Parts: sequence; C-alpha cells; structure tokens
Amino acid sequence: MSKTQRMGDDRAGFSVTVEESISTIRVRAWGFWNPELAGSFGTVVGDACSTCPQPSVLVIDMSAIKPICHEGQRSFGTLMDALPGLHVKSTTVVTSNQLIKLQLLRIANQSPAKGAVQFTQAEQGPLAT
Amino acid sequence: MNTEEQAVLDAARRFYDAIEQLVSGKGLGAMRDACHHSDRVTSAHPSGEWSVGWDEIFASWEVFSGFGRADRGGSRIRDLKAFVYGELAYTTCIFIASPGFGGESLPCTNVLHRMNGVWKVVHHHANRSPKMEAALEKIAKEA
Repeated sequence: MSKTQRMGDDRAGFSVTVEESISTIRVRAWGFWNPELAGSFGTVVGDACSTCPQPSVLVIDMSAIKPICHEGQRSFGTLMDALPGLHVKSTTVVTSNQLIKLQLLRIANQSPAKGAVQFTQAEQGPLAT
Repeated sequence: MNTEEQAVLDAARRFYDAIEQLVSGKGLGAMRDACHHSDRVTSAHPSGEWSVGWDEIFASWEVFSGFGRADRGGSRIRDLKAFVYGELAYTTCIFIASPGFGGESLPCTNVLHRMNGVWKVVHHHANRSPKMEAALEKIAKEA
C-alpha cells in the first residue's frame, strides 16, 4: 500500500510517496520552486518519513528541478538535519543538472546525515514514482 | 571606439566584477545591480543548464555564491569586445576562472539591453567547464 502527497502544480512542485510495505519514501521534485513551496519541502518530506515504518529508505529525485532559492536550500538543509532522528538508514539524491548536484551536495555534507546520503546521476530522465 | 561601445564594455566589466565579488565571498549585491530583473532574461553557467527569468537566474548565482570565499577569488577576463545595435549590444570575451574555481579559460557571450539609459545584462552564456565542476564538487565534498 502506498500514499502519495502532491504539492505545487504542473510547473513547479514535488510529490512524496510512502511505500510502507518496503519502508521506502520516494520524493520527486520539478520546476522552479517559489519561496513558499520551497519552505514546505523539508517539513512535508520529514513528516512523511516519520509515518513510514523504520528504519526507512529515502529516494529524492531532483532530476527535473531548477536551482533552488534560499528558502529551498534552508528547507533541504532542515530535512538533512532531521534524517538521523527519523531513522532513515539511507538517502539517495538523483540529479541530472550538475549545478543542482553541487548545491545539494554542499548542504548534505554540512549536515549530520553526511555519509548516509548518496548522489547519483539520472541517466534517462526523472525516476518514475 | 565610440561612446556607446565604451558604455557597453563598462557594463560588461561590472558584470564580471560582480562574478569576482561573489566567488570571493562578497555576496550578490553587485550581481543584482549588473543585470536586468525580468522574466525575459536568460543565463547558462559553466555547470548547469539554462535558467530563464531573474528569480531562477538569481538562484543559480546563489549556488556559486555559496562556494565563495575570500581565498577563492582571482577570476579575470581578456579580449573583451562590444558590438552595439541600437538599444541592444553583445559582448564576447574569455573568462578565466579563479584557481579556486578550476582556473579554466571559457569563451563567453553576453547580451546587454539599454533601459532608461543604463546598459545591463539580459543574457549570459559561458562555455561548459569540467574543471570548474570538479573544483566545486571537491569543495562540496570537503564541507
């Protein structure tokens, strides 16, 4: 059984799917986030992680997102900071744009989750959710 | 060289001064001043893809600014040339990234628009730079 929450619209947003049977949270993000949407990312994904059977696996597909504004960077950082307490045993961030990878890699490596976050390159577009 | 060409060259130099400021940790204020802010501006950096609209472009400059530090400055340009067509102009140059950002030489093009008598950048394109990507990834991993 899985539950999906969708934020934003077709131009910019993100979706969060919790697959309880395999303790996995799948996040897909797209477009250029406005500050409000960006600010909600960390909380929404963190809340989803807290409802998933633990320890869990988090997969964040950022292959269709644009560079993230200041609020989004802070929000992503909030999520990274919270991951150890949410018993997320591994996190994979998928990117296709090198600039986005650099942006998120720097934030992840400044967080307590450093070492448990892997970055991979999207080869054929965004992951399906 | 005529007065307009000189004004365009000055505006382009302000843009590259703004890049130097952000890579050396002095923030994004000069970059804000060097560019027009509208939905009809575009930019492609040495790493990354096209950004469209000022909000998106500013976010992309924030990424580079995030890597900025006093000892990572030292970028410069050479062979800057300006070509003016009425209220529009373009420039070409070679941008030499600072050592901290890979030190690679990149052909660059900028389009400038004169609005209310002031030339500012509306389009920026720099060639891709694998050395810059590698340098920034190294910095990010060392964070």
